Amino acid sequence: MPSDLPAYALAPPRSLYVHIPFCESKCSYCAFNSVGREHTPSGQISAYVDALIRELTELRIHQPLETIYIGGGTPSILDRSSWNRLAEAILRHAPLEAKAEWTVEMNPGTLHDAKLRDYRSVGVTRISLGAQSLDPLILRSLERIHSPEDVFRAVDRIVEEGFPSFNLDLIYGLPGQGLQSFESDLDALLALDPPHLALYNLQFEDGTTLSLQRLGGHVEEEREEVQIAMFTSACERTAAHGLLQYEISNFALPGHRARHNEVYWENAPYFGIGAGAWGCVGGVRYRNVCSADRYIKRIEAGESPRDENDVLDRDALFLESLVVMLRHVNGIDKSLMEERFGSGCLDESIPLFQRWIASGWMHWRDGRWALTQAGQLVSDSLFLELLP
Amino acid sequence: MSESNEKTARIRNFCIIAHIDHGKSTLADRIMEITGTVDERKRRDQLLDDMDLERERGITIKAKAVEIHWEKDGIPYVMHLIDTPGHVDFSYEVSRSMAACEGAVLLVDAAQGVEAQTAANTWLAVDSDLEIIPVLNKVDLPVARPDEVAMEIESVLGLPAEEVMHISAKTGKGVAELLDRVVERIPPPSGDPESELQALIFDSVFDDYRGVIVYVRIVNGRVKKRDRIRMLGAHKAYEVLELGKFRPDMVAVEELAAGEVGYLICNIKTIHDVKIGDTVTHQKTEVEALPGYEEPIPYVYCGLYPSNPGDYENLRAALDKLHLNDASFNFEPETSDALGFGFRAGFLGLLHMEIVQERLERESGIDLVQTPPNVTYELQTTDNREFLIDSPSKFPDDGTVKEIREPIAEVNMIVPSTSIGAIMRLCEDRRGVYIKTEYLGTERVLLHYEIPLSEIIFDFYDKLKSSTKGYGTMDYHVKEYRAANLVKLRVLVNGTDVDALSMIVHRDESTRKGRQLLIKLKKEIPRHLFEIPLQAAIGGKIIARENIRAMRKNVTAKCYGGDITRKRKLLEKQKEGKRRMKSVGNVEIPQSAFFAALKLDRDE
Repeated sequence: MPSDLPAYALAPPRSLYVHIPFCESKCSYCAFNSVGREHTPSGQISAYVDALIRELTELRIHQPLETIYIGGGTPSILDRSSWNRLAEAILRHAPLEAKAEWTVEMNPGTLHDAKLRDYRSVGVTRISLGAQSLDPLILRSLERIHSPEDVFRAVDRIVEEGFPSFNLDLIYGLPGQGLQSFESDLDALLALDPPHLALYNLQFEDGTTLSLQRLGGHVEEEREEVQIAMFTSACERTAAHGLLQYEISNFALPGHRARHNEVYWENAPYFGIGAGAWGCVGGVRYRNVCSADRYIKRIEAGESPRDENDVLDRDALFLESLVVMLRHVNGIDKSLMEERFGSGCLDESIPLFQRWIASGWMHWRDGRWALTQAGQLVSDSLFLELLP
Repeated sequence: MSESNEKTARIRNFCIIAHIDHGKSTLADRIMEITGTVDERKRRDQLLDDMDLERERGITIKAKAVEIHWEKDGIPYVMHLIDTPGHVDFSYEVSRSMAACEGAVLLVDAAQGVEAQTAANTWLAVDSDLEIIPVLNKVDLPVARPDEVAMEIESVLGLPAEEVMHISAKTGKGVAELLDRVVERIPPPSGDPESELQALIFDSVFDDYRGVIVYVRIVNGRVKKRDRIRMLGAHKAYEVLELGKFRPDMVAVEELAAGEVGYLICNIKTIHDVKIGDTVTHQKTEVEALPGYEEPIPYVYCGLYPSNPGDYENLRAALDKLHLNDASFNFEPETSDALGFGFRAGFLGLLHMEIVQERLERESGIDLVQTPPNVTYELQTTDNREFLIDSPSKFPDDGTVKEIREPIAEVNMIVPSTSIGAIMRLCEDRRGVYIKTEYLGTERVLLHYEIPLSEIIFDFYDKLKSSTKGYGTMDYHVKEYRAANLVKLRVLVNGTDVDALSMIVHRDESTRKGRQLLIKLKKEIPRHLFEIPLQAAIGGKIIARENIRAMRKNVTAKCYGGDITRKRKLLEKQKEGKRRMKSVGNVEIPQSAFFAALKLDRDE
């Protein structure tokens, strides 16, 4: 057990991530741990849920949880009986606080009225809907299984079902998208009055179909100027709808920030279960084995599903904290960091911060250093300078 | 004839002149096999003698002068097959190895024909009065064209086509006849074992356990174990602790006499005390030095800097170690405003530089920043002082230079007739002066040019190869220093003079080269968070400028859960990459940028 870590990192987690590594089909840009239906043997999803329940049970969670996030993959791929077994187990083995946030990710193409009702009835508070684009051609090129209409229908149903909050995902910088088309997609989504919006700049992740297409010269990365214009435009348009940017890629109405994700941006501990899930408990960041099949087998054999264990030392935790905190509008809270890592822990960073402030990438306000919009855009270059 | 003179009469010393891939080592192997030299080694491998112990300690000393035994007409002969260095930068060493022989086997691939370096080495052999036995190898291959190649040998090298032997080193066909021919044609050594000792040092190698091993050809007299000897050029005296021959492993003998070739071990601590071409005699004996001795002159220099300043001492240690085994490479400390503390190293030529650098990186593991190579220049100042500079940064910028002279190389190239035009254009682009053309049959020509050395040390050879579909070959040697209208081109990155990027160029080409260099640098230097102006200047005058645009977007879209650790590891890896760059002012310059200057093409 690492002994030099601040107490907060060693405290029992108050959040749980559950990974569902199955999709109807794999999208071309996706680098997440997921496999399409055609590669999933029948009966595997049900066996997987059994394994999840067993891993959850063995966590022996006593502290009531503040957030649960069920992501993937496509969690909405679970049939009703699998879902109900999972939900029941969560309610039994993971006590929830009264005001806990419980999010489930959903693909607009897997919408199912009865499933939505099930979610709501067990206490799910938030649906995260992967809209990605409203351009049918782009959706097809990304190998998404849904149409723009599916998105509108899904939002209607989510609202009707009475979920207190929901999120829409939108990607910008897609090949062939163009500024105008992006702006009209964004406007159409904002017209749905989402309380939360996640706006992702397209990344060409290694090993994805999209990256291969770029290597083969079939698609081209959007010009830098256009991508910057998309980001700037998005910040203005969302603000006009009352959605405020609170993390590089996230926008929310007041009171609708994704509390689960904010746990990551505070670099606080959390449980993660399921194939390929990451977790961070007791100063160890771990990852479970990625293959659903191997995950199930390990759990069935009574073995630990963990494949990687990264024991964090103080320096690593400190650096990670700076990086994730600077992605958030709250930025680096000087007194919080000093409380966690000791007074003077930021002494070496301050001259750097002063340079960033002079360059217009950072501001200092209310005892916090946070990145400006220009700083966010070059944040990866700035983070590199944080390293000794 | 005395007994010892009779022994000398049955010695033959020869080397093999061949282009790379024309089969020199195959022929050497076949000769050793046919003469039983290799079998003897195999037998001895099974016995645990001193040599085996040494082999276990990892010592392998290249047999550069193998003793072989051959019988002709019932008379036993002792031959020494002397190896010569394989490449163009070592022509002095080649000439010394030849000076240890009375003859040479000229081995030419019957399909490829005569190549430039073979021709150059053959001329060297002719100058050294060697008896030359022309031989065509690979005659049994379907692509062989022995008659044409024999005619090439006659027309370029002046050796009668009808005397050219046909062999196959691979199958061994004709090799025994070749050995007979060596006995018949190559004269025995002319030295007198009874006169005073004169031995030629033709090579040396450093061994961690035994110090320097000196390769000698005894020209006159004899040398024995425990003899006190001295080296005339180096003014050093030693006691001979061991002497011997390569059979092909090192075998100690009691004495080496006139005509023989072998090694001496005298507890010599550094290879720099042994000069190739020097003469060895007894300590109290006065003899004349053997002709042909020269100090090796480095013509090509470059700066070597550790990427990480903390590696300076490690780099020095690595250079010292390489220096132990290579007497023709030198280095001294140098300080660059841009690069900090490093070394300026001198080489015989570009190939020599590449060999040293490759070994340095491989053996030391130090990340190096290497500045573009430059040649040495002779300067005359307005107050008539003369000096030699080995770095553009030492070039005075203040108008005190009256004359600057650069080394001119005599270059000979053998190319297909169809590419004469392309090669002549290449040579003219490189400020070459045409001397003459010789025809080698109808297919190929031998072109002679004089070209400034600075113009051929970069990518001349690559260009020659690509313009001739790989068939062209070249050889060069420095002829003299000649005055030229040269200026120093400086480069400013973000307003800072990067001395390591400055270069000496011809005034007529300075603007074009300056512009091209900036375009290259623009591609090589990664974008920073601020705009970086690049300028090229001559004296105080800016002759070209470029801008590297500021990076405005570099952001990761998603950072959840496991992304955090992945992000940290990626940042650590990127930081490591950044450490390998050189920070000048606040601009990170990768090593590749320092080499951008080398790739300035005419046609760009």
